[in-house]
Amino acid sequence: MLYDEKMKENQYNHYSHPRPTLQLNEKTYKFSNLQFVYLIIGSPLLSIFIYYFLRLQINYWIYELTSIQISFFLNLFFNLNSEVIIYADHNTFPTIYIPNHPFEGSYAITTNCIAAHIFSIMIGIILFIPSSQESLSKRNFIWRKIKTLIISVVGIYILNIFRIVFLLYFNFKGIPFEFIHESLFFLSAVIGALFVVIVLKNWLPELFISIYYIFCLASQKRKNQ
Amino acid sequence: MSDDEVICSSCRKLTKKSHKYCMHCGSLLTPYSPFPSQETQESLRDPFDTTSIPSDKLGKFHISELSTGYKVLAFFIIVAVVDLVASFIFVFGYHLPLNTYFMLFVGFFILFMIIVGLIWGVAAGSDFANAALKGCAAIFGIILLLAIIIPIYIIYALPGIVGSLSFSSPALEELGQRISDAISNALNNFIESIFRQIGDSIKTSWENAFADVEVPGFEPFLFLGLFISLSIFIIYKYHLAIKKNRINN
Repeated sequence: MLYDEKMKENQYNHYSHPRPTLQLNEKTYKFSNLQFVYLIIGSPLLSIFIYYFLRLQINYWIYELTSIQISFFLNLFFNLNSEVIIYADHNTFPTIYIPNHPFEGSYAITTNCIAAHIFSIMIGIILFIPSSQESLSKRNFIWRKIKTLIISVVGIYILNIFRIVFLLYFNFKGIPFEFIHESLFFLSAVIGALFVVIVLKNWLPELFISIYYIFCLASQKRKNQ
Repeated sequence: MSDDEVICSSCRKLTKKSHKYCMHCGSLLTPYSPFPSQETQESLRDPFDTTSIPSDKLGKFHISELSTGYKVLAFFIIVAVVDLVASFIFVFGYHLPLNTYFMLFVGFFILFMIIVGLIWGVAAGSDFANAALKGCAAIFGIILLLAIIIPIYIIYALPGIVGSLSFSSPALEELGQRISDAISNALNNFIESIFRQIGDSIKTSWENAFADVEVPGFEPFLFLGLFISLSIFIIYKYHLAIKKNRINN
């Protein structure tokens, strides 16, 4: 037998181990290696890309919209007569101004204030979640992905708006900015993470199952060796 | 040991022969594998049979046989070479508003270190190599397509298409030329501004890394940490459920 044929045979034998199939809630799951590569490499790259994209001047409208909505809720709930200052030069972030403030009373809405980094991480992960190769568990995958994406983005956006509303209100009431800022950012991170995980578990459990699948593949490979 | 029992190769305990998976550890029982095992194939082959191997294949260099030190060195050399080429293309191709070549080189070095490291790490497993390389190639291809090829194509092809349309009068020809010039200028300015902004963002974030950093509004590390912790809990729950299913089957 020629060397090349032997190599081919070895390769075939190596690939011939059946891929594991996971059974969960009367559904079977099976993933391809290529999808894992997309998830591992694509997610961080896309997250970085989205984050820097949100920093571009063409996305200034997002900062404007967020500032206007924060100001609206401040006036609606707490009657603070706040105003939004939008600069013609888009290098300066929009500012929310609250009159009769015990401290400075003006707050710039920056990239981190609109939770751009959280949106980037979330979108990056959701878009690259692998789909199962089994037909039953693959059903409505695209629709479930779109639904998860919309619910997560809207949920985090609303959470962030109310975080800033309460932050500015408590600061207006005399609580030091650093104190309330740090407390609220921890609280919002906890609520945000819980929310995203619950949404993913309900509509896109493929993320967690696929990670478990990688461990199954690794353990199978170890056993075969 | 009765006839209807078999020893599990993983946990070495007796289990029912009729089961596909071990009752104790849940691993696949070997008699039910539809393919011959690798071990059997290995034992059938004569390890000393070198006569059928062509002479040009003997003593051929294999990267997997290198020692760890050389592998690490090779990894950094590859990163540096890729980085050097990319930095050169970007600096002379797009005129990024960065003051020094060094800064761009360092930035790209970190990026390529992650990418090449991932490819290297993923491709280390032999059955994973094919998929890993395909995936990486696809992602590189998409980035290349979006970042370089499409803008270049639009700049060079579109004005040419507009200009090449035949016009009956000199006034219309002039109009066509003006349209093509306007498109070309607008696209050039747009692409330049996009890259300038990306460059500015990179520069600002690079400078901020060494300055007094503003406390972020929505703590990202806590968010990610909690996300990972909760994910591990869910994965463990799935693990128990899947194992239970296997034992029941």
